[in-house]
Amino acid sequence: MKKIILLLVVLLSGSLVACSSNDDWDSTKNITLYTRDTSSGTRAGFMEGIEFAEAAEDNSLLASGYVIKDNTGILTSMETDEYGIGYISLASLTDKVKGLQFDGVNPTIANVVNNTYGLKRPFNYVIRSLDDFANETEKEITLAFVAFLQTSDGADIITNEGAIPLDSTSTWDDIKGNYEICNQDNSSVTIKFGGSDSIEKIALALTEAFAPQCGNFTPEHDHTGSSDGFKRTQGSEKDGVNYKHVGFASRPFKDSELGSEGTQGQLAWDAIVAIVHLNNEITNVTAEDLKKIYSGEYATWNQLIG
Amino acid sequence: MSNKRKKFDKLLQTITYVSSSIGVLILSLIVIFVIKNGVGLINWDLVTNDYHAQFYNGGIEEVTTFSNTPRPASLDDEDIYSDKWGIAVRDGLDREGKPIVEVTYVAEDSPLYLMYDKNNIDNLDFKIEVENVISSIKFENKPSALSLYGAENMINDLNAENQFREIVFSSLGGGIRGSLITTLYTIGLTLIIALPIGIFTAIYLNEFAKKNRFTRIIRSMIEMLTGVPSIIFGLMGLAVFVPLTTKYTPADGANLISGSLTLAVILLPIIIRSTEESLKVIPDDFRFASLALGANNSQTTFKVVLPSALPGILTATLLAIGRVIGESAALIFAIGTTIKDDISIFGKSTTLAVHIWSLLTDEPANIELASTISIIILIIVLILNISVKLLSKKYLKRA
Repeated sequence: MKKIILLLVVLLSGSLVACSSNDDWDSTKNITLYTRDTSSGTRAGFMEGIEFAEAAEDNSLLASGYVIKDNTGILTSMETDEYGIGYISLASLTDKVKGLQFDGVNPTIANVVNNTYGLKRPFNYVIRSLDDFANETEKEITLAFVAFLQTSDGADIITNEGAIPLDSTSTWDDIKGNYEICNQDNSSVTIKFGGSDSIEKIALALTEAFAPQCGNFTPEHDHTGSSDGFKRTQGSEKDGVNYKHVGFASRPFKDSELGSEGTQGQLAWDAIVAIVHLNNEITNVTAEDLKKIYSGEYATWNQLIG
Repeated sequence: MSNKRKKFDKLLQTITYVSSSIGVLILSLIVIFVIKNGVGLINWDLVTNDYHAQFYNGGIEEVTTFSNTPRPASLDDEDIYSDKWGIAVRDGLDREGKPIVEVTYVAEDSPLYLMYDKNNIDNLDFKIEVENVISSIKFENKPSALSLYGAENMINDLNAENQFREIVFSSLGGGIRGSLITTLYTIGLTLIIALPIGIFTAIYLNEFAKKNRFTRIIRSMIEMLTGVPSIIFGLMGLAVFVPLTTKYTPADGANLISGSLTLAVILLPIIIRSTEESLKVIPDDFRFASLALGANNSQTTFKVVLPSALPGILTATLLAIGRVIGESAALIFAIGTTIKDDISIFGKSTTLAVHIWSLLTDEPANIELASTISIIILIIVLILNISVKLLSKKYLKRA
């Protein structure tokens, strides 16, 4: 018994020491690349931003040894992988990782609003074709929601969630007279939202705040990726079990995703941040640096530091 | 004994020490991880609050008299007080770790009590209260004061004006009341379905069935059920119980009943096994004594044998509850993953374990809240295990 306890103490302290060891950061180590998968809007926006757009949907152009993870996966990997580099949406950035400056500009909301931070992408929405709603009520509520997105009240919510809204002049109070539907009790109506998972938190906040102002309709969120935004509202899955009333995409719509008149638009801008481990020495990258890292021209960190 | 032999014995001993320590070490690491991440969020409000915040939009007519209440002494340094509007707020964090501005005090003569509900004019109980979260204050002619910019900025903006267009405030969301209630409902429904079937099967196998090959086959098939991975039961729930319940109940899609039916199937072997064990240890003298007094076979079984087996059945029930609380894979299909506050047994919902799953698949994952729910689950399971220990101790003494 005593021996077991002794051994336990030794093992425990051993593992604690192992966890807390903080060796110097070694710039001769290889860079580990983390990336999102090819359906991700964050990836499309990032590759576009570093002028490496052809890699948005082609893994073979990336340096070998890359790791594909989702938003959360990249964030938690950067907390432990001292020699990794990845990219996430500004809204997800925490202080457990280091967000790199882009062309010398800090990744902050203020810098995105004043248009000095360059690595950004649009947040877009798409709704079902106007003649393709199950009933008038669902259509009217969806249209009211889209109108709400363009008001300063919608903009306030988007700002609070860490994204950057477009300019808006009218308030919901100004325009709500045009949406009679919001004066009736809609609590039995379910409106389905889907598409980009980077926009999920913002979409949730928007519907949570908007539902009480529009007859307490029930918002249902199921966010699976930007490509499903169009597919499940107007594309091949629009009549399937996973159909949506409103879809979101965290990248510009492709040519194959052009919907019918008046069903698509932008709701916000989002910044993408390149992130590394807190121990990493570098603080600033340029678009060129990032392209060289992701294309494999730089294999070790000291090539970047020079 | 030779020296070599001694060394070999020592080696074997050490291996047993190390192996047993690994188990204990892993358990303590899990507990340490969960407590370290989750303990910050644990409080009673978490259990009683809704998951979805309720939002309110408060408007106000022209204000003529402002508050006269001086800053109350009960507020501490973090509270930012507006003596003009009679409200104190402070910076806090919500259950996702995002910054929020929460109300900590509203003075009795605060003009904010004049606010009316913009979404429902008839709502006369409408007021802003302590513990509400203000997300924005909107003005006619300047940008809104957002919670993003902090409590101090919000109060400064508000103090500079005599009028505002709207205050958007909400309850603090992220609570687990709905999932907790679902878990309790699921436990109840599952036991109602599984206990009678399980107990009667056990009685049949132990008391009435002939000891032949057929009985042995039935028994080994039931035992094989224990080894089936729960995700396969989930698939069965999705393919059989969900369509079945949508056909005969008002439900559309996965619901609490289909989830409970699926869980009941998972629990059957556990309940049958432990009930049979407890029936087995009842001495045959009991049965003979009863038969000798003139009782027939079924009277003996239900009036003599079954009551003596009650502690064993209770143990089986507690084990089953533990399994219901811990099950997630099967339920993702059979009960849905939508976190709800208004629970109906015909609707989708999440149990605590599925709630954890759904927090971890969020973007970004909410590790803190997931850990807090884990602590709650661990405590419940610990209590159940201790009760099982105590019960079986008492039971063994009697037998």
